Amino acid sequence: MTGGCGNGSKDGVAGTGDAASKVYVAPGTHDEFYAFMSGGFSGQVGVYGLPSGRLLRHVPVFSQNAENGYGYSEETKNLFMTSFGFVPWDDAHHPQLSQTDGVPDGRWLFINGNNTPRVARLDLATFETAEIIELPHSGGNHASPFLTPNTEYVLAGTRFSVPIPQQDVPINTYKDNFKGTLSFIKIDSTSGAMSLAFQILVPGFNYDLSHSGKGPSHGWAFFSTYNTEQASTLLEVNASRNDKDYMAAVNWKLAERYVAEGKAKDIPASYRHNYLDDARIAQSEIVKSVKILDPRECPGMIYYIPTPKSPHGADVDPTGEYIVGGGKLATVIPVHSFSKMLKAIENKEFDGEVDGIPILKYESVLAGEVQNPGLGPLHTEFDGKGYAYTSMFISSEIVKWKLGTWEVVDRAPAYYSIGHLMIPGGDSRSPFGKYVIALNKITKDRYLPTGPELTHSAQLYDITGDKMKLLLDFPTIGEPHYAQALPASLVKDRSVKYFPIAENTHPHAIKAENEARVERDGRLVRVYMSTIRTHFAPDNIEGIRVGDSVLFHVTNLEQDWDVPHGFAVMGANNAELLVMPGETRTLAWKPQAAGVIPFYCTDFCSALHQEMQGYIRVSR
Amino acid sequence: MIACRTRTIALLAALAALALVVGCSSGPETEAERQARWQQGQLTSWELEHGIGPITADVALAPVDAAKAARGRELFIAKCATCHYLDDRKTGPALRDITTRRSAEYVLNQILNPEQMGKLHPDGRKMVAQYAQYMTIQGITNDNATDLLDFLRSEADKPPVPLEQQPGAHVPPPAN
Repeated sequence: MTGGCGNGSKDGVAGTGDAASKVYVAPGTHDEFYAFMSGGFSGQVGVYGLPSGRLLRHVPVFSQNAENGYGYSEETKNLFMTSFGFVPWDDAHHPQLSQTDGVPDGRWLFINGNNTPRVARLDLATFETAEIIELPHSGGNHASPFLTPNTEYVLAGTRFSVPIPQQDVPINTYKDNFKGTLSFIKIDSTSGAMSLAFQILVPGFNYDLSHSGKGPSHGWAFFSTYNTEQASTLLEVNASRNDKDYMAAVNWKLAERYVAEGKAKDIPASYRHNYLDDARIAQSEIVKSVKILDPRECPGMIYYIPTPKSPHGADVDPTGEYIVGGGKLATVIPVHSFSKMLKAIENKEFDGEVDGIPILKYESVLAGEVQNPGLGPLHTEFDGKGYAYTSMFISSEIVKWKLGTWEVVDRAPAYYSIGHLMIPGGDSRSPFGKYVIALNKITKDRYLPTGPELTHSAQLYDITGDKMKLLLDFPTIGEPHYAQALPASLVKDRSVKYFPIAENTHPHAIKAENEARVERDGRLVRVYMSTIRTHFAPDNIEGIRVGDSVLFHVTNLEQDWDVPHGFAVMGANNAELLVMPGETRTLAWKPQAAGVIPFYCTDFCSALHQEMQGYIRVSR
Repeated sequence: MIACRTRTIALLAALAALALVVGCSSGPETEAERQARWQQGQLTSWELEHGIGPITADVALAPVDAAKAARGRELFIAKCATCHYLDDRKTGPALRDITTRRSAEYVLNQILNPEQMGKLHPDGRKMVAQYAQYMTIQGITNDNATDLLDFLRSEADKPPVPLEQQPGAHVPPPAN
């Protein structure tokens, strides 16, 4: 479904020349914003400059990346460990920038693995994945990883409910045997380290998206649900029967207190926590239990707000008063009021309960409804000037409406089938504004064709005036599922240029070329190798035998920005290494036959790069 | 010859003297003006002899300090020996006699400012052409650079030695 009747025209562009000047970033100058876009099923994060739309980098997170050895090198393999073993792929959906006082602070980026439930933390000083934690008792980690305003917690709701604990039961016993969880991952405020603090056991619905409260609603979090019908087959029909599903309102400060008071039960589990240690080597630990809170024993911790109809987005406005539900099958956009919710709770304006969770009366919490917004409202972001922007998947447009009056004031077509949309800081307490970006699922005729698979795209609109103006279309990596952006100044000055060699604590690092050597321990051979423009040491390696296991520990002795060296061995069954200045990375290799095997530097490092090569002699 | 000279202006002295050299009438040359002048290839005779970089005036050379030279030797092994031997060509030239061929200021500028020396100084450009690459930036501080200088001065008058005895030489491992 393409929604629009597009012919690839310039619809929506008010004066192409004007638009071009607004996105032009002159050679050698920098963009105003970093945008971090999920790569969706590519498992990566795309980093773009705004307003130019220039791709600056793709950061591998949940997918092995042969280009630099991520997930192949001995130092990074452990990041992919899970309770299912080594899982080298995932589906990354929602990047979330760490926040201080409800505003992005540029330290870390969190992103979820949807398929094998995981949350990753990227360090924005190095633009690399520093940590991945697995989530037990979850299936489809979609309502994730949404942050509390001071990055106290990452919130993660399960999309697919599952038997908890896992067991062999008939699927049609879903209503009796399937449960959901809402996970609260504690974030260390200085290191960013993640630990699963507790989970809340919830009815077996699908938990779809989330956002935390802020300002007056700080301490609360909101999760949209669908499939409150609890169907297990043909959900497109069977999970679309109810007129309203729910928005779960969770008082996480109270949940924290319940945990402190010992109300949580320690439940056996087995999940992995993987992180780069001080030597920048990934460690993988197995954690064996998790604290679980049951709402039936925790009064006041969680309420359901009826929300039409199969809501998707759960978006909180900058003031913290309004919670917007994107009822994707609804004809209106419902907006809940936090202050009315508190009153309704106080007055016990309930309409029954589910598993000990009171259901609030829709009308008692409702602030207003945006009438006739379009078809298929999904997600809402805010400009900080009193307006909300909602993506309309089916009618393929962005609709701008006014908070408080709920009137639609503008609409702009998207090409095509917009999913998420993003305003820099648009889900924060203080949006940076200026642009809204449509993240589109389908591009059809918008670009030169590339066979059956076409790029997904982002579209940049100017929102500084009354009317949205389409400025730019640009292709993206994988699926640009959701994105976040912040002023470049919050990130670029902290960017690491190289790793000081004196601080390299890798146990197999070498600090100078004369430490380069080959050490044999039985059938294990360690090659301690250095690189500098423009040679390896050693570059002639002899004494390797068929049947040996060889570990190449390659240390890049360069101490200058932008001088990685590559290391590639003919016939290696894994990948190359790309070694940053001052860093040590390790490639495992098993020689298969007697002979002489060449290796070389892959990253064009200097005029004599082509001379940067060597040989390994393999004997019987 | 250079090893015996005495210098009266302190290491890393102010730029004031340079203003006189280039005849700038409106006070001392600013850093931006200096960079622009280098970019345009307008080097003073002092800079042609002593290089461009943080060292902009004559250096007071004390006799070689053994402790500094010892620290410089360790630094040479870690930072320099990847590309330089004392008596043999490697990625870059042999350095045994560098402090007799070049002034102390030139050596310090080459260590501290290799990129501009390679791009903007005529002698530096010749070296880049000869060795087909720029000297790498190794994050060496001013103090470390003077340690290296004393190490190189301490080695200058000694006779050449076989490669495997040169500091930091990487000797290929024997087959095992």
